[in-house]
Order: sequence, then structure tokens, then C-alpha cells
Amino acid sequence: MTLQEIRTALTSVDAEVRRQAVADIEAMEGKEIGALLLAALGDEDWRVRKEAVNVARKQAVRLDILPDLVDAICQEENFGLRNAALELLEELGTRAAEVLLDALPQVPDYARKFVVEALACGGDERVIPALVNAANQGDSIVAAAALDALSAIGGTEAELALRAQLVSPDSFHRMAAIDGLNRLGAIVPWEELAPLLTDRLVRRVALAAIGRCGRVEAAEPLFQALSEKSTYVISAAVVGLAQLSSGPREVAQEVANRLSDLSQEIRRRLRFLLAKGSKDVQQSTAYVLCLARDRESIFDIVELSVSYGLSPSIMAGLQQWGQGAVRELLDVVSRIPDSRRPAAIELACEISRKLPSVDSELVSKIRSIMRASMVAKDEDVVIAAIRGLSEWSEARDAETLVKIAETSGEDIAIACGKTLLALAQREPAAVESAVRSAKLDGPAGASLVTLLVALGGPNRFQALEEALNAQDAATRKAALLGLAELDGSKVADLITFALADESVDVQMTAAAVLGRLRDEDGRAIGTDSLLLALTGESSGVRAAAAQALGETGDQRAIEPLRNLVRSTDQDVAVAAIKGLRKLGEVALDELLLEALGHEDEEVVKQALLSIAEIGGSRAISRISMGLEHAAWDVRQLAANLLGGLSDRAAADALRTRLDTEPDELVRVTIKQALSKHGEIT
Amino acid sequence: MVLFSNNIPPMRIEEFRLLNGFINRFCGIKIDDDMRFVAERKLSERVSALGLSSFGDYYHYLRYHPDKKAELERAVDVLTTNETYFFREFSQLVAFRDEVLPRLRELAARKRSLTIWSAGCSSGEEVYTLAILISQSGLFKNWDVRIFGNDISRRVIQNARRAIYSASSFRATPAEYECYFIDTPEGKMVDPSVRSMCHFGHFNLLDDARAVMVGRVEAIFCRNVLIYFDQTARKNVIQTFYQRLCPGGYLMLGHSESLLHDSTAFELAHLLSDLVYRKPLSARSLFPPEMVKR
Repeated sequence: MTLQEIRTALTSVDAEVRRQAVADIEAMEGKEIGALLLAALGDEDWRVRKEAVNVARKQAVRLDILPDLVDAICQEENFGLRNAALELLEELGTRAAEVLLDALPQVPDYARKFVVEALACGGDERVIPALVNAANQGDSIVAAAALDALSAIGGTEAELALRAQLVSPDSFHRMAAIDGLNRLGAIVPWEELAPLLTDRLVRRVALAAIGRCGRVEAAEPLFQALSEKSTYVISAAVVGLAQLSSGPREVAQEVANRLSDLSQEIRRRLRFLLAKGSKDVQQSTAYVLCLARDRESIFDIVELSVSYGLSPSIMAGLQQWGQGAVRELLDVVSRIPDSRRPAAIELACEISRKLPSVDSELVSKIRSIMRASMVAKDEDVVIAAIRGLSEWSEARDAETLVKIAETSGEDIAIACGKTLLALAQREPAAVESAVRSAKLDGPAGASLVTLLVALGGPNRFQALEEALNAQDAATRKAALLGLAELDGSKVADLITFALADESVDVQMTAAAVLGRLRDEDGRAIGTDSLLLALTGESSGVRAAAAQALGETGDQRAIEPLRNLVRSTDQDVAVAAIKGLRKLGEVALDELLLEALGHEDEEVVKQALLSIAEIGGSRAISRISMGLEHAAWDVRQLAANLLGGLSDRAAADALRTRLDTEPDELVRVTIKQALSKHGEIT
Repeated sequence: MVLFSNNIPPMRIEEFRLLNGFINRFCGIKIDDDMRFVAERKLSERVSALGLSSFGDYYHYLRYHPDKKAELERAVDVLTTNETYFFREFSQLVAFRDEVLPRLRELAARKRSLTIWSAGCSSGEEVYTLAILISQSGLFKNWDVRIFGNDISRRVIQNARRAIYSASSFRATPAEYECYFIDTPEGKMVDPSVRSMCHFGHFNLLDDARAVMVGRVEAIFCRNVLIYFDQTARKNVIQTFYQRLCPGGYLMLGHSESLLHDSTAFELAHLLSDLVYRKPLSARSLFPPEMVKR
């Protein structure tokens, strides 16, 4: 479209035509573009305005329309234009901060709120003083917006500014401040919160903060709030009680004592929240109801575990409830739909395993329910039951488990294998007898071979050799892993031949195993075969062979591995560097520098590790290059490695990066690394 | 032996981020940081089953192992809740039956064929629900009616093709629709007359090349799927929807979902009891300017 065509299209009565014209502006150049965009921001159709925001987001700074956008939020005639301009300024964030700060004292009163809102979106701590100033001015709407903005920016300075407002004579200021502190998850001392609880207007919001203070005094108002009618208040109280319960031991104990005496009415309300509350409220309520040992909530706790999973706190709550929780969970197993039964079984068994002791009547109940569920129609129920039986299985279960494994799919077979292995610790003879006649092939083959290896016994070699001819690749792989534990000289030819297996996975396992094989004198015996495997078709096998060559300790592998560092197959390049590191190759310097520019971040990470391991005068500058990498995990590794190098240059590089590092996790790592250099940030 | 290892170290934050980022790039799903414990729980079984010893090893497996694609699909399968049921969000379905279907009949009258896509159909309940509603409407007798369903999980697609469902799938089924199901020893089976309209495919919504297989469609249902995606993935998927819809075609999202921050290409269509999105009739090409890669 030409500029003239766009101009004409923008006057069309069809909103779709105008929207498309706005989208086409993006490719245009010229002075008039800014004016066209501003006009489009005030279009009567939301799609056209939104499109204009999309285009202007990329162009606003270049077109120098930021002052026009501030004007747009100050006018009162076109609300569509005002909202679109505000959205745009918010999205521009720090890029708009300077213009907004300049405008703040000059804009009309009614527009100040919008400027403050836009300032919040930059997350720039430099605007905090201006926001504090706005918060302290007379207009309560502007003040509320400023406090809201402070909570959006966060940080210690913003938190302190918000806390200072908790004693404001204006209730709305206090409410906005505590609301902001809640959003930041800030811990506010009890002494600052207590006065707010007598303030009718602020109390509701303050309730949501007191659970974080970790003081026993906070329990009373929270319990009182559970009796109120408002769902919001009860939700805030239950979240607070959950937080207090995760606090200091004596506080948690006090809350637990009181929870055990909850009235039926309050329990009913909490069960409602457990079923219908928001995700966070559901998690907190489940925890509180576990501490209250509420039998009737078990079904909904199982439901929650299916929908979202249970937080570690809920698991701890169930554990604290103890055998009672296990009984309740087992009771619901027979009453709930198939799709929920695995979750109930898993929960019951997981909790029972973690208890210090379980009485015999409960053990019998667990066994009986698991045995009945092991033959259910639903595969997930069967798996859960087999796993659940693990701790509680008896000699008589061995044959059943082997039979189930032989006649089921891979997942059930693995579950059977795990349970049989656990049983073998207590009843080795029963398990051995059951496995002896089993067929080592099919979906159960790998599990049974693994079990056979774990059981030991004189006939292992013969059985494993036979298993290498199994039709199932996973069984052959398991056999290779088993053979690796036997005498190297005796099994080397079998394992070498497996490099010619039709399954890539088996070939990779053979390569990995060959690297570890040693003869009677401790010498590596797989090097020649592995060198051959480096020329194989599959990059997976080449990578496995490269890494395994590192395990051989054989210096003949160095040159071929050096050639592979430049491989375009990332996995091969990564494995070659790993192999060379294992071999202690020190002449890698230039290759590693090259590898730092590899497109795959895992290759770069391996190169960084090798550079750090080799050390030398150029290590710091080279590792510092990793601090500039696009991938956060590479930057984090580089920071970690620099933290371990006691040199001023390493600290300098870290400090410089800290100023611009956008990723919070990497920033934490940089700070930790700097602290190793004795610097407190 | 590692195959049965129960001692996998807890998932470190770095491992979570690597896995989350990788899975996100594959299929758009993003797991919130506070749900790390769920990811750890669910993926630990896979780590154990593959004989690996840490989540870091699992990340490497997903990136480099020859079976990485199949494993990535399994990982997504265990991480996502595939739960759905017949006649979910019934009021929207009523609006679709009573208001959208008559409009689609007009829209497609010349070719006498109607194609609907249920994107992210899970175990197929929505696909069959739509087929039942179309059948019940009586508007498309002797038309070619096809309802395509796709999902990233092979397992749920196999279940969808099987078309036999347990009680939990019928929790919201009004009594008037029970005649479309036949009792079997394993559960209720969808009536063959309805099944014949329905087709299922296994592909990733982010794979726009594979999405071409559904052809041009008159309506798309993608309900409670986009909520699992991050914004980039959502935008890409919506772009695919735009490309697949005929001008005037409808896009139905879940009640808590909107396109407000993702696309301006669709217009809002106000129904009596619902708001849905529609590709403008005057949409000038398959690819609106915002979607043309520059």
C-alpha cells in the first residue's frame, strides 16, 4: 500500500479495512506516519486502536510521539484514544519514564493518575521518589495509584515507602498500601499490622498480610475471621493460617491445636473453599483441613491432586495427620471414579511410607486394597497399586507380580520390577524363585533382567547372554547394563557386537558400557571398538562413543575427539568436549574458543567447563565471554565458574555484568559469585 | 540398577527452567514457577523409567537422544491435564447450535459442506459433542459434515478414536442427549452415526505445517487450551486459526479466554447468550498484514 492508499483506507467505513491499513503503516517511512498512528489510536473501533498500539509500540520512540501520547492521556474527549495512549505508554516502560517524570508535575489533576500508572509499568526504581511524592499529595486517587505503582515496582525501597503509608491518616492510603504489600508478599511486623485490624475499612486487606508475620498473636484474628460471612475474608484467613502453620514451630503448634477444635460450620465453609476457591486458596485450604484432620475433605484433596497436584505443605499436613489420613484415603479408593483412584492410592501409600510406624491392622488394609486394585481394568490404577504395595509386599506377592509383569505393558512391568526389587530386600528366595522361570523378553523383559542382575546369583551370565537375543530392544539394553557389571574380558566381545544392534538405543548403551570395561589389569578394552563407532551413521551413537572414549583414559582417543569438537551435530560436539575433559586434554585452547561460538548452548557450556578446568591466564577473559551469551543458563554457568576463580578480573567481569543482567536467577548467581570474592552486593 | 531408581534428586530450579523452556518451545505449554513440584512429581516417573539419574540428564535426553521426539510427547502427556467431558460449557454450545450453526449454513450453502476443527481435543468428548449438536440441529442433512479433532498426545487420540467413555465424561450431559450413546461392558460408546462425522489426528498446534491438514474450516473450537500457553505460542496458534478459517468463520474460546492481547484480526460477534470471535468477511487474504513475517 502507498501512503496515499493508507490515508484513504483509514477513512473507510469498514473497520477491517482501517485495521489492515494501520497494520500496513509499520512498513512506511516519513514524517506523516506519527500523525496517522495517533489518529488511529483514537479510532472508534477497538481492533483498529489495538492494531495502532501494536504498530506504535515498535515505532513510538523513533517517531518521537511520546509527548503526544502524554497529551492524549490528558485530553477528556476521546476515551478510546486516552486508553490506547495509556496502554502504549505502559508497554513502553522505561523508555517512556523520562517523558512521564517530566510531565508528572505539569499535567492536570485528573490526568496525574494515568501518568502514575504508566510510570509503574517500567519497573524502574528511579521513579520511586516521584511516586512517594505523588502518594503524599492531597488527591487520594493519585495517591492510591502511586501506592499501586510502588507495589508493581517492588524492591526494598518500595516496600519501605508502602509501610510508611500504613500509619497514614487516610484509610484509603492505608488500604492501598497494605494491598500493595500483599501483592509483594512482604513480611510486615505484627506491631505495624495490629492497629489495622481495628480499622473496619482496612481490616479485610490486612488479614491477608498477618499470616506472613509469623507471630502467634496473628492466630486469633485469623480464627475469628473464619466465622465471617464474606468468602473473601475467609479465604484471606485460611491463606494466613496456612502461612502461620508453615512458620515457627511454636506458632504452628498453636494453630494446629486450635484447628483440631474447628466447629462443623467452619469446616463446612472451608470445604466449600477447597472445592470452589482459586488455585492458591484451594492449596492453603487443603493444608489447613489436613491439619484440622477433616475426614470429609479427603475426596476434594484427591480431586485437587488430580487437577493441580498437592503442594509440599499439603503432603506435610497429610503426614502430620498420620495413619488417620491413610485410612481416609484408602476408604475413598472404592468410592471414587477410576480416574481418581490412582491419585488416592498413591497418596495413601506415599503417606504411609513416610510414617514412623504403621499398625498391623492398617498394613493389612493397605495390602488388601492394593492386591484388589492390581487386577483392575484401568492401567493407571494397576500401576498405582503395584507401586503402593512396594513397601508392604509379602513373599506370596512375588509370583503374582511376575505374572502381571509378563502379561502387561512396559509401564506396569517397570512398576512390578520396582516392587519386586523392594520385596527382594526382605524375601530374596521368593523373588528369585518367581523370576527364575520368567521369560526375559517383551515389555517386562527389561524390568525382569534388571531384577535378575540385582538379585545376583551364579546363572546371571547365561541368562544375560540369552537376553541379548531378546526381540525387545529395552531387554537387550538392560542385558548390556547387566553384563557391564561382570568380568570385562568375558563380556567384551558380546558388548562390542551389540554396536551392530538394529536399535540405536542398544548401540548407544553398548558404547557407553564399552568405555567402562576393563581387563584384569585395569586396562580399557573398548577403545578400538569405540573409535570405530565414531564413524557410525547415528549421531546418537557417535556421541555416546565420544563420551565413552573419555572414560577409557586412552590417549589414542584425543585426536579423533578433537576433530569432533567442530561437529555440526550438537550432541556429538558436546560429547567430544566431555570426552576430552575426562581425558585431561590440555591442548584444547583454540578449539574451545571456537566452541564458545557454537550455536548450541550446551556445547558452549561444555566449553566453559573445560576452559575453567584447564585454567591458565586466558581462562577468565574467555569465561567472561559466557556472561554475554543470549542463553540464561550459559550466563549462569559462566558466573558460577568466575565465582570460583580468585582473581580481581573475574570479580570485575561479574560486577559489570550485574548492572545489565536482566534474569533474576542469573543475578542471584552473580551476587553469590561476587560474595565468594568477598564482595557484598 | 538405575531403571528402578527411586532416589532421583529433587528438581533444581535451573533444571526446571531448562525443561520448562524446552517443552515450551516444543508445544507452547508453560508451567508456572509455583507448579515446579507438580512437574517434579510427574516427570520423575519418566526419569526413572528411562534409567536416568537426574532431571538434568532428562533434559539432555529430550534434546539429544534419538528417541527425543517420542519422549517429548510423553513428557507433555504426563504434564498436561487431559481431562474433559461431554457438553462442557453448555451455554456456549447452545449458542453455537441455535445461532452459529444457522449462520454457517448460509455461509457454506453453495458448497454444502461443513468442516469444524476442535483444536486440542484431548480424548474426543468435544468432537463428538459437536457432531451430536450438528446432527440434532437437522440443518445439514445430506451435507458433507466433518469434525476434525487434534491433540499432541497420541494416547488421548487413541482413546478418542475408541469412542468409549466412563461415567466422569458424562457429568454434564443433559438427559436429552443420552440417546446418542450405546451401553457397552466397558462404558458408553458414541453412536456410529455420530462417529462417522468425526476424525482425529495427532499433531502439535504450534506445527502450522501439519495444521494445514485440516483444510479450510467454518468454525474452530479451542476451549481451555490456550490458557496453558505463553503469549508467543498463543499468538502463533491464533495465526494458524486465522489461516484455517474461511472469512466469516467462527472461533470459539473458553469462557475465561480472550484474544484481547493476542490478535486484532478477529472481530467480536455478539450472540444472544455469548460472545465469540469471527474472521471478518472482508478479510482480504489468508494472511493479514500483522501475520506476514517481515
